[in-house]
This record gives sequence, structure tokens and C-alpha cells, in this order.
Amino acid sequence: MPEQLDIQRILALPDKEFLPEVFRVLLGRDPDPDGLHYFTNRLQQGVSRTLVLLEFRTSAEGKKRAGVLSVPELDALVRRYQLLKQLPLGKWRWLFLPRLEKTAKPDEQNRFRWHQEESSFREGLAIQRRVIWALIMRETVTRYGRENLGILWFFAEPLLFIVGITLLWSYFEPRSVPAGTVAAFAVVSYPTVLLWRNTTGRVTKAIEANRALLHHRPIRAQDFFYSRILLEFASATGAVLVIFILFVAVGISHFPANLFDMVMGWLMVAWFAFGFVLTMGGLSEVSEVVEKIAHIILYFMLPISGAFFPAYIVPEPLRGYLLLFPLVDCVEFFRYGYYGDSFPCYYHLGYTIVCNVALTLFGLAMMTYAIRKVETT
Amino acid sequence: MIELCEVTKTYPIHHGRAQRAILNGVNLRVGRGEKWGILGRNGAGKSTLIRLISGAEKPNTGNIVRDITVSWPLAFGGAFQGSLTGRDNTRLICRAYGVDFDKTIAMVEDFAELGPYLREPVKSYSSGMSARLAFAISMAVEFDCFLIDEALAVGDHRFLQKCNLELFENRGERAMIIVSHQADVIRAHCDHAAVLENGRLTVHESVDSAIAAYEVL
Repeated sequence: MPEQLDIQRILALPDKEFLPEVFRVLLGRDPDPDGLHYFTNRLQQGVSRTLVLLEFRTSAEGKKRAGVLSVPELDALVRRYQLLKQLPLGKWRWLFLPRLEKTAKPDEQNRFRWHQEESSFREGLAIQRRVIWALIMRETVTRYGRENLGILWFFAEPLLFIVGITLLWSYFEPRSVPAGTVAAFAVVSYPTVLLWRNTTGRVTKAIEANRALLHHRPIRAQDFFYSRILLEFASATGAVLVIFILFVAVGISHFPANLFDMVMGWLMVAWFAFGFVLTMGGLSEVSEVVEKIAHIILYFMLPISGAFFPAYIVPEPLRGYLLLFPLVDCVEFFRYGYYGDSFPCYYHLGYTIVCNVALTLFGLAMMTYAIRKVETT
Repeated sequence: MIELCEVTKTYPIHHGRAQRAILNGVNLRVGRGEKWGILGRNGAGKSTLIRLISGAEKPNTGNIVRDITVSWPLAFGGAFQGSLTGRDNTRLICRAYGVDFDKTIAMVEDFAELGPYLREPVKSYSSGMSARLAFAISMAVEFDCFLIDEALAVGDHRFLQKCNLELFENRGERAMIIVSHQADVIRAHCDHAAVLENGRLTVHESVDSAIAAYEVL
């Protein structure tokens, strides 16, 4: 009968005595200086005691003691630990590991931790926020410069786009627009295209272009994606706000029928765009073919993006198929927020959310895969 | 401590139809405050090794553990955005590392002696100037371990002396990894040495024996 260990006694030990005791109990020997140093650092980086115990238990040396010593609470976690270890989620995966210790004691830290993978969850987020902000600021300066209109281009570029499209549609494509003017329809339709189309263009080859920055430990490849996506979303949103408020002020557009739904609709389009952009960005990084045909895909997506005509003018069997594409549902929902009940808008929110979740997960996986591939070649 | 355990790195050649091994089962352990010199001829894989240690690339197999903060390769100007000014590049790095910008830029102005060039795009810099900027910025961030990739070969004599003072005297207690094909740089600054050849890293007992082994290659 193997000896049973009271894990809570070990976990209750103060920091100085914890590791030496773990060495003695789980490995059956006194700590060596290097090992002690290594694990002391891991704990200081915010790694949980539970995780350290599991690392001891599953090491080659620790496994040998399994017959002599039983630690039921710890052994119950071993399978989950080994499963989580395979997940390509970085520090996030340890969120799924329950902690045996009753209260986590944050250690005093006087040094910066830079590398996100090697720091605790909260610090990692703080670093990531800092890095993404740094990259956004750099991107803004690189793209718009400090001279002339400078930062104003941030809004001006998408703004001019929307104005141009609105004029074009008003004069050259008179169509049966449900209620109000063509211009009012364009301003609540076309901007959605900016989110998925322009952003995809920005993230293609984002890693290649910024590769040298990976020499800096705090900066990780996914931050290139996130910063560019955020910047593009922010400028599109800013442009829409400016032009929409302007249109309402001069009376081309009316005040949205349901402002909350309109905002939610915009966020849904952005959510779809996020997953879509990550997928395209990841694919274009690993496959030259996708990179070359990306703009063709984007072009042919235009007519089925829901931005060019309302779904209700499409005859029924076809409309059903069209609405299977979640982007159309998002755009319809956004338009519903503006038009309200003045004409029928078609969308299935539940279906769209499920699709968006799936697309986001797929996009994250593609991005992770692409990053791994770029970093090892 | 930085530990490399059976690190292998290959690059695709012939358009991905084959793999060429650059590093093959490399082991190295750099303790706190140790100064390592790594000797190797051109193309031996020194820069690859530095890129792996800095984390810019990942090994194909094997592990790299760092529990101290590691610098980017010192005086490495490649991490700059050419169209941005020296100031804006400094700002990016300060933001990423969470270092105070005003203090850093004052230090960089003083140390790099770039004068008005600091407000010009980095692409207009000479290689010596961008190395000076990079070196100055890296002195603003307090690293535990500095990576040095042939760096101190650039820059003129006076700047070299300043670098030596900042790096080896003011930061003498930090760990360092210097890769070079020049034995005298290693002899002057290192207390441990290894030789990189044909993808294998041989750790020698003393710096002198490593240099002797390198010179007969």
C-alpha cells in the first residue's frame, strides 16, 4: 500500500519551504540548485503551485515515485494536465486547470516580465495590450505620416470611399430601395464591406512584413494581426459615425429606428469580419495560392455580402440559400436597426452567432498554425 | 538561466523539396552572469543560434528555456521600420517594453550622437548610424542577458569604447552571449566558450582551448 500524501499540507507551506519540500516528497531527494532556481523562477512568474506540482509529478523522475507515493488529488488532474499541454493556446490553456491551492498569493515582483507565454495570465494580458497599442501607434504613423492631414486620413480614407460609393449608387444604379433615398441605403450598407474587405488586405503577409520585430520578446506574431485588425475596424467605425451623423444632421438619413440593434448589428458584422480576416490572413501566410487569389475571393464575395441589395428583393428559394452565409444575416440585422419595420429584414441571430463562433475558432486555429509555420522556417 | 536542449533547426532548400540542417542537437546552458563566446566561421549557424535564443524563430525540435530576460541582438538595426524616424522607432520599442519614453530618448540622444538625424527616417541612416541607434535603445531596457551578434564590429573607435564601457563595465554582472568569428573579441570579454561547426556546438573547458580548437578549423 503506497504512502498517501496530504497535498494541502504542502500547499499551505510558505514560499521558501514549498519547493524544497516538493523535491523531497515528490522526487524523494534534496533539491539541486539549478532545479530549485528554475522552479523558483516559474513560481515568481505567476505559474500556479498546482501546475508546478503536476510538472514534478509527470517528470521522468516523478513518475518513478508513483508506486511508492499516492497523491489522489494531484493524480486526478494528471490526465487533464497532459491533455491541456497539447493545446496550442499558450497561457490560456491553464485557465482550464483547476487549482488545488485555496488562495493564490500574488508574489511581489520588482522586475518586468516581458514574454507573454512565460508570465502569468493577467500580466500577459497587460503586456499584450501594451504591445498592440505600440503597434497600432506605429502603424498609424507609418501609414498616415505626421505631415499634411496626418492622423485625419485615419477617417478620411474610408470616408471618401463611402461618399464616392454613395454618389455612384445614387446616380448610376437607381434601384427599388425600400424606404428613403439610395444614399441613405448606401450609408448603412456599404461600410460593412470595409470591415471584411479592407482588413483582409491589411493582414495579408502581416508577419512577413514585421518579422524583424519578433526579435523583441514582448512582441508576438499574433499581435501583428490584432493590431492591424483593430486599427482597420476603428477607422471604419469612425468613418461610419462621422458620415452617418452628418447624413442625419442634413436630413438624408433619419434617426435609426432601433439604435441598440444597429450598434449590435455593426458589432456582429465586425465579429464575422474578425473570424474571416484571421482565416484569410492565416491561409495567405501558409499558402501562396491563397495569397494570390485573395483579392479574387474578396471581389466575388461582394455580390453575396448583403451590402448591395436588401435580402427581401431576392425570390424565396434563393433568399434561403443567401441567408446561409452569415455575413448576409449580420448586414441585414445592422440594416434592421436603421430601418426598423419599414421593410422586411431577414436574419437568424442564433444561426449567425453559431457560425461566427465557429468561424472565429477556425480563424484562430489558422492563425496559430500559420504563426507556427512561419516561426519554424 | 537560458537552456538549450537538443535544439535542431533546419531550413527548406530547393523550394521546400529538401531540408538543410543548420543546427543539429545543440545543447547549451547559460547561467546568471556568465559570459559566453561562441566561435564559428561564416555560415556556421551563429546568427541562426542567436535568432533562436532571442526567440525570433522557434527550433524544429528541442527546447529553449529562458527564465531571465533576453535582449534582442545588440546593435541589430534590422528591427527598425525604415520609413519611421529614429524617434518613432524608439517610441515603439519603449511602448512595447513599457519603458519611459522621455528618459530613453534623452539617453539615446546623448549616447548615439545622431543629432538632427534622430528626426529623419531610419532608411536614410548609414549602417553605422542605425547600429548606434539600436545599441543606444537597448541600453535603455534593463536585460538580464545580452545577445551580441558581431555587433561591435560596426561603429568607429570612439563609439566602440563607449559601448565597451556601458556594456562590460556598467553592466558587467549581466550574462552575455557573444557570437563572433574573431577570436580576440571572445578572448577579451568571455569566461566560457564554445565552437560551432557543422551544426554541432562543442563546449570547451576554457576560452583558450576553444580558441585553439577554432583556429585549427
